[in-house]
Amino acid sequence: MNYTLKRIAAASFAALLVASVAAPAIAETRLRMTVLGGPGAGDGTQGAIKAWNAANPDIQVDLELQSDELNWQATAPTTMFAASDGPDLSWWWCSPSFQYKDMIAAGLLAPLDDIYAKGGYPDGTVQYFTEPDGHKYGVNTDVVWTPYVYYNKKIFADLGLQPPKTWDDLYAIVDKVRGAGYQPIAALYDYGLVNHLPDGLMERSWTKDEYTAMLHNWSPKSTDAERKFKWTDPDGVRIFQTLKDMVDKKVFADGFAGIIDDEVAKSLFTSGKAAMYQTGSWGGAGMLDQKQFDVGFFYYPPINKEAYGPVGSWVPNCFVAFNRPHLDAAKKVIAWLASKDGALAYAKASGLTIGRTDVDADTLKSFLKPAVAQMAADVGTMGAPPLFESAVPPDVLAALKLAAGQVLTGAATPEQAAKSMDDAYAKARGQ
Amino acid sequence: MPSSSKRPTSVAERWLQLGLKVFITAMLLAWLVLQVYPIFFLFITSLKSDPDILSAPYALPFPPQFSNYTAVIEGGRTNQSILVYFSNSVIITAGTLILLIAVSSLAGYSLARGKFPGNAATQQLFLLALAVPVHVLLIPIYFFFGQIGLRNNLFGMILLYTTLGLPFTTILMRAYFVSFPKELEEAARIDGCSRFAVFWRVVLPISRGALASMAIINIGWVWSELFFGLTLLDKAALRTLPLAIAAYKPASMAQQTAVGELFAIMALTVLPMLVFYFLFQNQIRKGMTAGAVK
Amino acid sequence: MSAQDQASTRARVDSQAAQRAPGFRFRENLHWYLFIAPAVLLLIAFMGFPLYRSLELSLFQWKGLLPRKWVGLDNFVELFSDVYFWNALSHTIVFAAAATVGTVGLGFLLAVAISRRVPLYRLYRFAFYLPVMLPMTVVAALWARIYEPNFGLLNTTLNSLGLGALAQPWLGSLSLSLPAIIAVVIWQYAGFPMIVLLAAIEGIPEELHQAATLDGASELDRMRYLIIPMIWPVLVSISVVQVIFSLKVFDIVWVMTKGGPAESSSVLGTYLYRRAFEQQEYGYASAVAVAMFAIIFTVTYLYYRLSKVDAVEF
Repeated sequence: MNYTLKRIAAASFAALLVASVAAPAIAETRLRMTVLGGPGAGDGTQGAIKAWNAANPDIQVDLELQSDELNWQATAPTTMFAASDGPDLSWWWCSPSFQYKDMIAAGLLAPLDDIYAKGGYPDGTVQYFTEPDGHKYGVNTDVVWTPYVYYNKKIFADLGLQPPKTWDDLYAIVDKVRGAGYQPIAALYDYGLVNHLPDGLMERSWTKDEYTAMLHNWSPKSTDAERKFKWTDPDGVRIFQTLKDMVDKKVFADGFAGIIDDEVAKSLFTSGKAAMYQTGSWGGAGMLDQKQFDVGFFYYPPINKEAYGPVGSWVPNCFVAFNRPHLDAAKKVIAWLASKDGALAYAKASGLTIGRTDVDADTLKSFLKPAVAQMAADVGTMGAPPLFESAVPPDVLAALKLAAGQVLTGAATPEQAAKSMDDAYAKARGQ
Repeated sequence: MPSSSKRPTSVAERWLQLGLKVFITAMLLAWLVLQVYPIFFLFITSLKSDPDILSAPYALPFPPQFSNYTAVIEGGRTNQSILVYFSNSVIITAGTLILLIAVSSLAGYSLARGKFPGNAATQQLFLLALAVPVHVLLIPIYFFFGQIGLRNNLFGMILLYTTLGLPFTTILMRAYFVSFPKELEEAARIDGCSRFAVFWRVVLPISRGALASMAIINIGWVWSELFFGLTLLDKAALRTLPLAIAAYKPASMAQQTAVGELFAIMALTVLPMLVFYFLFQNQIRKGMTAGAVK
Repeated sequence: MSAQDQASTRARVDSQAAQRAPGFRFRENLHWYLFIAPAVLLLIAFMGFPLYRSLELSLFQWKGLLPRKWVGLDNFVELFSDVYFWNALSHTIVFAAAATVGTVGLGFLLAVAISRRVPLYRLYRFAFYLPVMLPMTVVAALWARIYEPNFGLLNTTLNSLGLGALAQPWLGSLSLSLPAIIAVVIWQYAGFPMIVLLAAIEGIPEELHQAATLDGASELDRMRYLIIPMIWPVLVSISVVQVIFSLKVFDIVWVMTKGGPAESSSVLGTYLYRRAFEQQEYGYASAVAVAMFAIIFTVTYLYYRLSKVDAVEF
C-alpha cells in the first residue's frame, strides 16, 4: 500500500513538473482590463479589444465590464485599482472629480508620454492631459459635447414649430407643446445638474475670460487675477436665474426632479410623450433609432455675445495603464488603441466621435450618424470649451449640484445659490 | 376583559356588523391586489419587447416574447453567461444560510439556557451590533479582507454575510429557545446526554419550523445583497446575480432603452425566492412558536 | 418518571453541582462559552474590528488614495454645524417613526384578520409576505415606474378614475418624495410584523377566545382587551426591530431618489454614502457613522428602559 502510494505520488509530481515547464510554450501574456459596460465606452472598448485580441495572440486582453450601479467610478481607485491584483489597464475619466489626480499622486498610473509623441491629437487635448509635472498619464478615447436638445420632428411638424433662436422662442414652443398635451423637455435630473444644463448656461452667460477663470479659481494655486471673478457677479447669478425662469415657464417635463434614471427620461421621449429630450452628443450616436419618428437637434439659444458657445466638451474619457508587472504589454495595447486604427475600431463600435486630428470628415461620416457628424462639424467651427466637471474637484462639483438643485426646486433663490457657490470656492481655496 | 355583556340584538347593529365585514373583506382584497400586482407586472413586462413596454405598459403580452430572456442568458451586456452569476449566488446564499443558522442557533440556545457570567453582557453585544450602520464598514472591511486573502473569495463573502445577519438572527433564536419547554431537555440531561447532544438530538429536530423561519427571514437580503458584493467581488467570474442586474441598468451614457432585458433579469432573480418561499411556507407557518411541542 | 421524581432528581443533580469547587464554575459553563464562541468571534472579527477602524478614521481626513491627515475632532465640529446632516437626521426620524407605525400597525391588523380566519385567509397569509422577499433593486425599479408622473400606474389610474387632480410628481416633489418612499416601505414590509404577530396571536390559548365570545365581546373589544395585552412583549420587540432597521435605511431611498430632489428625502444612510463615495470624504463620513451609531443605540436603549421590557421576547 505504502509503496503504491509512493509511486503514485512520484508520478504525479513528475507530471506536474513537466506540465509547469511545458505550459508556457506560447509565452502568452494575459492582461486584465476594466471598462464601464453598456453602449458608448463599453461597446467601443469591446469592439477595439476584440480587434486587438484577434491580431495579437501573444498579448491577450480580458475585458471586464463594470456597472455604474453604486458608483464603480467612486470606489474603484481606492479598492480595485490600488489593490495588488487590480487590472493592468482601464478605461477611465481623467478628471479631478474621479480621483485621477490622486491616482497620479499615489503613483498608481504610468506615464504615457511616448504614446503622445506619435502625434495625432489636437493641442487642446494634449494640454488637458499634460500634468504639472510635464507627463501625460492618460490617452483620450473620444470627445463628447453637451448639452443638446433632441426633438421629435413629427410633433414639431404637426404643431408647425421650428427650432428656437431665442429664449422667448423656446418658451413659446413649450407653451404650444403643452397645449397639445405633450411634455416639453425630458432630461436626467442628476441632483440638479440636469444632464449638464448648468454647464450649458455657464457657456452662454459668462464671457470667455470669466469662464476660464471660474473653472480654475477654486484652487489654492489660482492667481489674484483669476479670483477677481465671482459667482455672485451678474453674469454668474444669471446662470441660476435662467434655471429658475425655465422652471417657472414649465420647460421641463412634469416631475423632472424625480428623474434620477436616464432610462426614464429616454422612455418619455422615445414613447412620444415628451417632445424634446436633452442630453449630450452621445445621445445622437444611435439611441434614437426607432421607427416612429425622425429626430433632430438644436442648441439652447445664446445669452451673452461674449460667451464661448453652445456646447462644452468632455475630453477626459481616456485609457490609463497601471504600474504593474505587465506594464510594457499594457502600454503596447494602449499605443494601438491610441493609434488611428485603434481609434477607428473604437469609434465604429461605439458610434462616438474620435478626438484625433488625422481622421478626416469623410471617414467619420462613413460610420457616424448624420446628427453626430453634424455636431462634430459644428464644433469644428464654433469651438467647445472644457466642461466645468472636467476641471473641478468633487466637493466643488457637489456644491454646484446642491446649488442648482435648490434653485430648480425653489428651495433657494438664484442669489443664494450663487453665494453658496462662492462659499464653496472659498472653502476649496482653504480660506 | 369587558364585564358587561353585549348581545347584538337590534337589526341596526347586525347591519353594522355585516357592513364592517364587507368593508374589511374589501380592504383585504384591495391590499391583496396591491401586494401582488407589481410582481405580476414584473413578469408580464419581462415578456414584452421594448416598444410594447413603452406604448402599452399594462397590456398582457400576447404572444409572450422570450427574446429578453435569451438575451440575458447569453449575457451580451455582461460578457458572461448568467449561469455563472446564478451559481455564485446559490453558493454564497446556501453557504451563508447554513453557517448563519448553525452559529446563531448555538449562540441563541446558549444565551437562552445558560446561566453563565457574561450572558447579559453578550446579549447587549448583539443588540449593540444591531445598531451598527454597516455601509461605513465597507472600506475597512475591504482592506482587512485584502490583508487576510478573503477578497474575491466566495467563502469570504459567506463569512461576511453570516456576520451581518448574526445579531438579528441570534436575538430571534434566543427568544425562541426561551419559550421552548424545558421538560424534554431535562429528561435527556437526566438520561446522561451532554449539553451539545441535548441541543443536537432533542432541541434542533423539533425546531425545524423556527430554523426554516430564520432561513426565510434572511434569504431575501443575502440573495440580493449588492453593496458589499460590488466592491469585494471585482473578478467577473465571481460575481453574483444582483451585480448582473446592476449591469443591465444602463449607465447614463447609454443609448438604447433596455427595459425588457432589465425586467427579465429581475424576474430571473425573483423566481428562486418565490420558489423557495412556496416550498417552505408550511415550515414557516409552524415556525416561530414552540407551540408545536404541546 | 413522575413529576415529583423528576423534581427530586433535578434537585439532587443541582446540589451536587453546587458542592463542587469554585473553579468548576467556569468548566461547568465551558460548553455555553463554546456555543457562543463562533458567533462572538465572527462579530468581533468582521464587525467589531472594522468598526474600530472606522471610528479611528473619523479623527482623520482621508480621500481614499493618498495618506490620511489627522484632524482630531474637527469632523465632529463640522458635523455639528452641518445643515445637511441635521436635515438628514430629521428625515430619518420621521421615516423611522412613520415606517414603524405603518408596518407594525398594518401588520397587526392583517394578523388579527388572518387569525380570525376570515374567508381566503390562507391566501392572504401567503401573499402578504411575498413582497418582503423581493430584492431592493426590483422593488425600487417597479415603484419608480409606478410613481412616474406621466405614464406611471398611479397617476394613470387616478386619471382614469376621474381623480386627476390628485396626480402629483411624486418622486420629483419636495414635499412628497419622502412620504412616497415611506409608502413603498410599508408596502414591502408590512408582511414581516404580520407573520411575527400572527404567530404570537395564534399562541393565545383558545379558552380565552371562547370566554371572550361567551361574554359577547365585539371584535374591537377582543383586540383591545385580549389580544394586545397578551402579545404586548412581542409588539414592543417587533417595533424596536423595525425602528432600528428604519434608522439605518439606505438602499430603498438611494435607488428611488438618491436623497433628492434637493435633499428632500435625504436620510442619514444616504448622506453617509454620498459624503464617503461621491465626495471621497471617508473621514467625515466615518464621523457621520459614529453619530448614526450613537443615535441608534441611544434610541434603542431608551425604548427598552421606557417600555420596561428586559429582554427581546417573540
